[in-house]
Amino acid sequence: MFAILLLAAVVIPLGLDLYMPVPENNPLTDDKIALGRRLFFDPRLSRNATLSCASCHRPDRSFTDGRHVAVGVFGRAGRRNVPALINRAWGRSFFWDGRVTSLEEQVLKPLEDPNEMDLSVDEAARRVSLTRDELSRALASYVRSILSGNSRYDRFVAGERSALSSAEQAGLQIVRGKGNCTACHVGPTFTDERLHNTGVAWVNGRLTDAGAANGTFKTPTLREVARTAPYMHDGSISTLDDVVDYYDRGGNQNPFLDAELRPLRLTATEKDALVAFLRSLNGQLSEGIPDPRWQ
Amino acid sequence: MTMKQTIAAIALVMASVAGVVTLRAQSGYDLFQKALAAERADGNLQQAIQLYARVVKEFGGDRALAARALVRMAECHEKLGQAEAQTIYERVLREYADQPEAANLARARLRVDPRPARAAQGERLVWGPGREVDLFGTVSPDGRYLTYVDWFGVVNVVLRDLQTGTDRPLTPNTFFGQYGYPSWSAISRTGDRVAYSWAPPDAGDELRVASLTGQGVPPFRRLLPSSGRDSLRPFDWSPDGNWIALLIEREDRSSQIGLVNLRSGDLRILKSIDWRGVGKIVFSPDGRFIAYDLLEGEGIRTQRVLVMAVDAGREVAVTTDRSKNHVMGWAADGHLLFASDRSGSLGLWAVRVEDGRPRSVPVLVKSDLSSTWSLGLTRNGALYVWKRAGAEYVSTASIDLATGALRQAAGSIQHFVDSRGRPAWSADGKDLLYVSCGPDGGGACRIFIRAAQTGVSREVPHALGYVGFPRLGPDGVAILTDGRDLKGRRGIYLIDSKTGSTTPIAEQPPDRRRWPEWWPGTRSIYYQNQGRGEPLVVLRREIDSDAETEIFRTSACNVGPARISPDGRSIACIGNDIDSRTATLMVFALSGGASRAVMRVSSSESLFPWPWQWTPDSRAILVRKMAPLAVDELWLAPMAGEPRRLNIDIRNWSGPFDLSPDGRQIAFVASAGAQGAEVWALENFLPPGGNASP
Repeated sequence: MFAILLLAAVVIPLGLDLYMPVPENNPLTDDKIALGRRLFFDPRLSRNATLSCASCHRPDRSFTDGRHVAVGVFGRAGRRNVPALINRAWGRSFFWDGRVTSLEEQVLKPLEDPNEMDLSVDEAARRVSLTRDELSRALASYVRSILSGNSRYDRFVAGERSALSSAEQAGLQIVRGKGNCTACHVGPTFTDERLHNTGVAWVNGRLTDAGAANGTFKTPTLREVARTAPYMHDGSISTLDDVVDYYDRGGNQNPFLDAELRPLRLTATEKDALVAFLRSLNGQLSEGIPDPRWQ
Repeated sequence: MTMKQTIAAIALVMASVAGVVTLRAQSGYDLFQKALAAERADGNLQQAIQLYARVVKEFGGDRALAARALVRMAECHEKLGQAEAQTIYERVLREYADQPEAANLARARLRVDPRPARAAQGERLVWGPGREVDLFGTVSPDGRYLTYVDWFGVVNVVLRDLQTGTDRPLTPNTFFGQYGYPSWSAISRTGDRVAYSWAPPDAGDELRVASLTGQGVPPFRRLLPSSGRDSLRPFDWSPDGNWIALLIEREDRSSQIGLVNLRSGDLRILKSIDWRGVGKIVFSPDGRFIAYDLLEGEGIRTQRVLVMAVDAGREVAVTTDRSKNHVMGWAADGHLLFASDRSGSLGLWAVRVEDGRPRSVPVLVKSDLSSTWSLGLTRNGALYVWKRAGAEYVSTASIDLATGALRQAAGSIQHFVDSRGRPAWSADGKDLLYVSCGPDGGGACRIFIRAAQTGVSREVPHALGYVGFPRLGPDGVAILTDGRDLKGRRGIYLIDSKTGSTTPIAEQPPDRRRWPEWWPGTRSIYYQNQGRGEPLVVLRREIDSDAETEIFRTSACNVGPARISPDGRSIACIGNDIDSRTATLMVFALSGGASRAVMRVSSSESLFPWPWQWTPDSRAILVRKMAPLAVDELWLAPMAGEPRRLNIDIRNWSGPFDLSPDGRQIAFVASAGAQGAEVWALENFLPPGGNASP
């Protein structure tokens, strides 16, 4: 009842925009999503045929892997935390440093990254008997089908006032007010798709990862956030409570700290409420061809 | 000397000093901007023509710029009724055919009837001028009715019969905001229903639908319930009457374009956008698409027109250039109408849209459009637009409160077209602060400080998207204001008038005004916290320590601000009592004790909720009294004795006023010419067959 069949291939759950920006040269089709799904789970796309996209973007972990940083072929450690691949259809910038602006381009990058799948795109395409474009478009189509919505928060916004507890409602008010969270985590996807310096990359006054520049990283979504620990671009914060404490302190000071960050002076009750609200963003996760039960 | 004169004088001096080298170093773009300013801001068309001619002569190598300058020059000639316009347009076509935009404009202008646009295209005043003429509704398909909100009455959605001049309230208030507050409304394509947003006293907007047939206040159906503090803005009905297109402004400062189904009440969110929302949404004649306008990026200069399928299947940009475009209507023949400044001045443009995609280049169908605010298209293709009746400007005059005499200053301080002013004196009376906002009073606001002694005004940099009522602090540097920042966050802000540094002081939830003021003579401020139906609470906050204390609480006041007397001993506020239908100006001792009513009006009279002020000696309050169909009056309500009307004609005062600290000067916002707004019907501008009926 809360989902609407928008395109031939995708059911949009409650809380997300019905309009999904899709490139005109890569319309969503059931066949392409199905192909993309097979490719997503296909280890042949890695150099030693041991890892697939799903090895790091695990559906059972809201398309993250629970590790601090990604682990690629031959046990090579990546630099950054695996981002949750949900609702990326509405994304405008990709990767923690926002260096890519389309899903079609993004999906090919991990294949070539030596610390991830370490395989040339041409070789990957050859292995699965596709062209480079077919590979890219199919994977992008599948990623577009990975959606999270219909959370208790969404039902609350849609008018079901009992969907959130009083503590969660208090947390929502903090998100929108005192916590200043919506300065960056805004809209249905809870991200402004922009780069910010929250200070995480600055440890004891030293820059550990420049990100896009001077320690700026793209705002991650808050949907499914309780299922996607650890947090931040480097997975350096293990729990939501710790994340809230970090922002309550105003982030790590550095010369490029985003002006939006300042000490919040949240009380213990307010912090608890905020975390309670964040947990309400666990939603109904769907991927691939729509589940007929949703229609 | 006005600010413009001052700027001109400074420019002249600088030019003399710098000499020819400076002038030659000036870019063609700068010169073009100067010409535009002469044309649009100063209305000095002759000077503009000379400057445009210089652009063509001195910077002819930039063909795009030269072509634009020629078009502008031709339009200036046209406005002056001079035949040179046609020659110049022909020159553009002849010599600048490689500049498509300029050539299209020239071609369009050569095609239009050479008679003055107004006569040829039948601009007809259908309502106004008057302050009650507002912009919150739409016109009926037959052009006879218009919905609006009677902000100067008891705040109802009202159906105006433009033929008879009679009004029919569609909502039940019989006293100001008694049952709630309406805002936007839209009449259905069949003309027999209306959708409007309505905020009950203690809740956010709900969407209601009512029939327009019959008499009296019609019963309503609640189509969408309140959701927190979200605001709803219905724009248009689908031609089949099954859907309403609306904008939802969410509490998280995002906005959403949605469709609500009339039968089921189901809401479809098509697209989420940022807090700035859209200006208008209209359905296509076949109901399969909607068109809307959307600001691009973080700025306010580029606004695109987009078309989206109602099943959200695709979105197509109709305009892709960097001009500012506003959706105005969608004609039955498929022409999408939009206002645009793409030619350098505001015009009405049409682009043919088929199957949700543009099928032609935009064509200018009417130049010299005076408003971007469309109230909709009628069945016969008339476009109804709202516009201000006259310009507003800040002025000062000497005042004698004892006799009630007012002497108008010889010249106004400044004349900002479409400015709202909001003047405020500095604590020492040496400076006057005022603001200038966008065409409809919203949008980006500029803050100016004028030194009384020199007459020189300077602009204050700041980082706010909108400012409310800024006030200079006791140090003459800090400015306190309510407003919204560039991310749409409402709050109280402190602006350093020297550096422009802008610091948030306190947030402001969407359902309440803070009305921040400086605590007399200190670096602390006070502001209020009051939601609908809640007691009025006034908080004092120390700027330097952020320490905050409650200093006043009452349930007696429920409209507008509470203000502390200059001696810091008393606080005044206005209470509207629904049962007795009275409005009372109350004064309380801050040290406690009984309250007293210093002025009370009843029945249909009311006290203007916010432009009122203590006199500097704290012995009286200057207040504006209003009544329907009557001229507003300025009254002095003393702490001891009876209130008395001042013999000051304020019929042209359109906004707030401010007494100087010595009580001898008053700054106010006045209308030049007619007050308020007007509704015009633009007729016969569409190509043959371009009527609007679906």
